[in-house]
Amino acid sequence: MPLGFGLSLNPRRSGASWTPLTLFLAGEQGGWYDPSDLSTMFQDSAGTTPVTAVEQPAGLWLDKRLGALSALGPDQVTNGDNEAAVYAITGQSFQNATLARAASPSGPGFAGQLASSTSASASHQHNSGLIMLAGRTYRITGRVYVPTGGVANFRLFDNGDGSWFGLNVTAKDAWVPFSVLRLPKASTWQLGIGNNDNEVIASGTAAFWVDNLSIREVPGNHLIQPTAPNRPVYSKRYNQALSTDDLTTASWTASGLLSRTVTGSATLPTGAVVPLTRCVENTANAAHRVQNTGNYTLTSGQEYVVSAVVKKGSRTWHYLRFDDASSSFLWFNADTGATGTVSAGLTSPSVVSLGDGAWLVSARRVTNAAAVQVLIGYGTADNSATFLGDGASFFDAGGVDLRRTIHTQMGMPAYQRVTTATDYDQSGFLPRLAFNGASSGMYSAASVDFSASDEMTVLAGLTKLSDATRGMIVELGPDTTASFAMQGPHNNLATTWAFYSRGSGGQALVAPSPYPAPETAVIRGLAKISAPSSAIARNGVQLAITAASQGTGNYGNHALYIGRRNNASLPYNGDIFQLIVRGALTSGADLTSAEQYVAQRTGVTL
Amino acid sequence: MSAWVHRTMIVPQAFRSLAQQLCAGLAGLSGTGMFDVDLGTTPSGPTTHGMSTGLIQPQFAGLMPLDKWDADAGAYTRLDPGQATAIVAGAAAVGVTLPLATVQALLAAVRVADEPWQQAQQQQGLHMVQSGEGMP
Repeated sequence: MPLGFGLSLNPRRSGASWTPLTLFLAGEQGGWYDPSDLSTMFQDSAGTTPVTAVEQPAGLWLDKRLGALSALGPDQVTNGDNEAAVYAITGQSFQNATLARAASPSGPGFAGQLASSTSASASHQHNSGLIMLAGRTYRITGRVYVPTGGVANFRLFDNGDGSWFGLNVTAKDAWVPFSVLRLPKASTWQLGIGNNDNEVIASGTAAFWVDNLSIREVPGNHLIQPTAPNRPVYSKRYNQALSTDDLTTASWTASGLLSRTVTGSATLPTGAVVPLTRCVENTANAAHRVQNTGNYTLTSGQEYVVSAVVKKGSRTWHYLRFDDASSSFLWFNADTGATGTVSAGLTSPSVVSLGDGAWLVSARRVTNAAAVQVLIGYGTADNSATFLGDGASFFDAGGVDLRRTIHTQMGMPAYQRVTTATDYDQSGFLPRLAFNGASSGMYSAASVDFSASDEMTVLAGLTKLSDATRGMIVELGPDTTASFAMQGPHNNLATTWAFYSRGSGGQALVAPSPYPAPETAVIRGLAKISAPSSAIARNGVQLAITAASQGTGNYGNHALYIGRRNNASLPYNGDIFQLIVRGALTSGADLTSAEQYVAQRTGVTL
Repeated sequence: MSAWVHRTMIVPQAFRSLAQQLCAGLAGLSGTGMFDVDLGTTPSGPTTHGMSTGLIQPQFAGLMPLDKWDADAGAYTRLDPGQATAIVAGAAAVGVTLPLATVQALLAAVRVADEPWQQAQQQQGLHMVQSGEGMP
């Protein structure tokens, strides 16, 4: 059964096709959260709008450990397509309505027609039995046709409390497909289909038609974030620059230039072809350059790599400049590739020939300010940027890339074309959920019952982007006993990763340092309460272990939080590439395979 | 859902509860729980402002003001005053009656910009108030 990206529901214990599903074959409690699988993410917490593109928020993140949408539970509807007989829902009942099978409106085949049985003001609905179980997530799919004269609002609702969810069809005389996820409730409930608003529909009139109805459980411990701005964002963007292939747009500003025109190209060592922008100098006695409009917002104190393609046109000496609180130049000779003046603080200067007079120029800089500009220009000699232009000389530039140094060390392409904040190269760039360090977080839609186990494995592929404030990556319960957590960092201004486990009493914390942000790593926590141990490993190497007492008992039945404690505090500032939580210890080949699996999706080599 | 837009929204404490109620009323579940980040003039508090930051729906953003930081002036410029009348009408539609002047005062007090929260805080001289939560 396909799960996307070549995964299978027939997990093998070794080899290239190993998947984390293997870790849960014995029914272990937990969760597997994978941002590389778009089928597991929805923009809203009700699961009505899937994540289909980068830079969309995740309001619902499905747990894959039991297969999610690829391993739905048995259908609670029989004859959902109405072809053999009219559809029926387990334990069904009707309210002021009768159901019959009839020719499908505006199409071949048959559909189920729910007709009003009263001319009084009343609700007209088809109810399931009391079959929607507490703590379970259900997917309800189908299509509905509401004729003129039918219900004003076709809805799905909880017939116990009357609350609507995920759907309100008001269109008339057309089939409308629907697919809705209903998140767990604390108690068993009854699905209502139709309209629980009292309204007059003539007796015998079709209130609505339903076809292809299906009601199936989506197994797993799914994560939600109802509050829109608090949702983490699905992203593959690493290059902070904009309009990187076209320096004529509003994202770039000319200084001392007569014109800018996209013309010609250069080929990067990777084979990627980069369009270039011809920048023709004006006749001013000034600097002649192009620079990004406004500022890029970076993280002060962190190291970035800036790179660009610069091609010689008329003059010999060119520069790539990085402006934070000061201006840093990398001057180079476009005839020879030799570097000239390189400002202090600009490290690893590199000038690589791309042929035909084009050069790939790059350097690193620990930025000393958040507001940064990238500038590309040329001069009459090394370190001579201001001169009287002739109105005709030119240079070509393009392929601008500005990213954290750690993002050059994760096996991704060296150049990412970025047109806009939502339109950029994705092939080869690792997908992640980005947590903003202020409000982003998710939590399980129902409590996750770990009370059968006193063992825990947490495995996460992460980039920690800040050490400024304590960040909660994952925690069971809101800072309570019988719980565990992974943090990065553990304290404000600490350079730690941390993991702790608690039984009924004391907590066993391991928080090794220094691993200053930004840092990408596979972090593993292993713990057992009864024979107390709590250990943390980074990139497959155990860093710390404690045998401190954790009290007694097993882990609890609490909500699982990621990104923030209790969806309220200690916001994690960073990315999650993979997250596996397993209510058992993991060892041997399974542990090795799991860490390799996570590492490959995090850009880490173990 | 059409393209989302990023906003960092900071409201003085005196208007925080009103802003939270309005967002919940106008946006429903997706607006419930906004402005839940405490800000103050020092990391140790006290809390003087509440913040929301992240992606919101464009129709919701369209109701709110929009500000832009002018680096040369060292101050924000208001690009869009927001839709006070529409907010009052929207609130009324969900059963909340508000004087127009109250909403206008809220919109005058809130700072809404398409910028990262770190930048917004720095420009407004604010810090995230640390929770002070103990070990672990």
